[in-house]
Amino acid sequence: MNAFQLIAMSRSLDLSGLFEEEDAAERKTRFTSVYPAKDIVHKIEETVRAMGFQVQRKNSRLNLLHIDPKSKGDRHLSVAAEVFEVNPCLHVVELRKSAGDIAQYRQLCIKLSSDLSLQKDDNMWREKGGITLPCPCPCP
Amino acid sequence: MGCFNSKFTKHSPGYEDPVKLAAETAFSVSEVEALYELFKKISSSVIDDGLINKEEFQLALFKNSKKENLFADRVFDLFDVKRKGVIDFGDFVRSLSVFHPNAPQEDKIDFAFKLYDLQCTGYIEREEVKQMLIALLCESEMKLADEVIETILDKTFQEADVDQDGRIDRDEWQKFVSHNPSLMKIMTLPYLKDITTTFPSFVFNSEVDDIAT
Repeated sequence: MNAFQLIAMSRSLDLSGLFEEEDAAERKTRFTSVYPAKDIVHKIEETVRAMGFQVQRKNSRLNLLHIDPKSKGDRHLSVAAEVFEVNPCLHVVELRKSAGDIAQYRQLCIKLSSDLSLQKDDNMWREKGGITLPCPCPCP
Repeated sequence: MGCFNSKFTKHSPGYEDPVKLAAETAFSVSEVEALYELFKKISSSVIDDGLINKEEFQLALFKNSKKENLFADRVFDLFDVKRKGVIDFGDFVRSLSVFHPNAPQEDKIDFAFKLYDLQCTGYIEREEVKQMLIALLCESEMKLADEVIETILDKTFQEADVDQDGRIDRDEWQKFVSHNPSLMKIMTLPYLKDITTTFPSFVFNSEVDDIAT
C-alpha cells in the first residue's frame, strides 16, 4: 500500500459530507492490526456471525448485514469491511457504514477493533486475551 | 410565472447565472440550480452573507466547525479560487464540477496534484507526503512507528519519483495515477449525479426549507 492510498482514506477528503445530514466522518472507522490478512478476515467473519450478521465475502472485502426483524429495510445495519496491507506484518482494517443505526455501528467497531488490534511495545508483543502473535517476517 | 422569475432577482454577492455555469461545468442548468440550494444552506449557517467562509465549510463537511484539519484547509484553499478567503457560488460550482462523475480525468488528476502540493511549489515533496501521512494517522488514531512511515515513503517514492529527485512533479504524478487508478476515487462524488433529487430547486413555497432525501 502506498502513502497516497493511505492518505486518500482521510475522512476530510471525503466531500460527501457536504451532502449529508449525518456526520459522514462517523461512518468510517480505521484501525491497524498485526494479524495476517487471512486471520483478520476470518476473525471478523466469526465475530459478526456470532453477533447475528450475514456475511458476504469478496477477496479482502466483507459485506456485513444485520437484519433487525422489527425494523424496516433501510434501518438494517449494513457495513463494509476491507483489509489493506501496509506491509506483510501490518494491515489496516477499514469499516464503512452504508446504512443503519450509528450507535449499533459504533458498537461493532469497538468490538472488532478491540479483538483485532494489538499494541506493539518496543520489541515486545503485549498479549491480548492470552494470544501471543509470532511475526513470520523480518519486520523493520 | 412570477415565482420562477422572482426566485432569481434576489440573489447574494458572488451569485452567477446558472446557464453560464452549466455551460462551463459538468452540470446541467437544473443541477446548478439544485447546487444553489445547497450553497444557500451552507453559506448562511454562520454568517448570512451569501459566501462560504472557512468555518461554514468545516461545519458543512464535519458538522463541527472546530475541526481544524490539514486536508480540509487544502480543499478550502482550492475551492477559494479567487484567493479571497471565501467561496462564492461560482467557485463552489466550478470546484465541485471536478468531482462530477462526468468530469474529465485530467481535471481530477490536476486537482489532486494541487491538493497534495501543500506548499504550492509545483512539486509534491517527500516532506509534504510525510506531513499528510502523519495527519491521516492522527485523525484515525492509528499508530505507526517512524521506521514504518519511512518505509512506506521509500516505497511510494521509488514508484512515483521516476527521476529520483526527491519530489513528484506533475508528469510523474500523472504516470503514477495511471498505475494506481484507485487514488482518484476521492475525486468523484457519485452524489453529484443525483443532486436534483436531493435538493429540489423548484420550491414554490419559500417557507419550505425541508429537503427531501
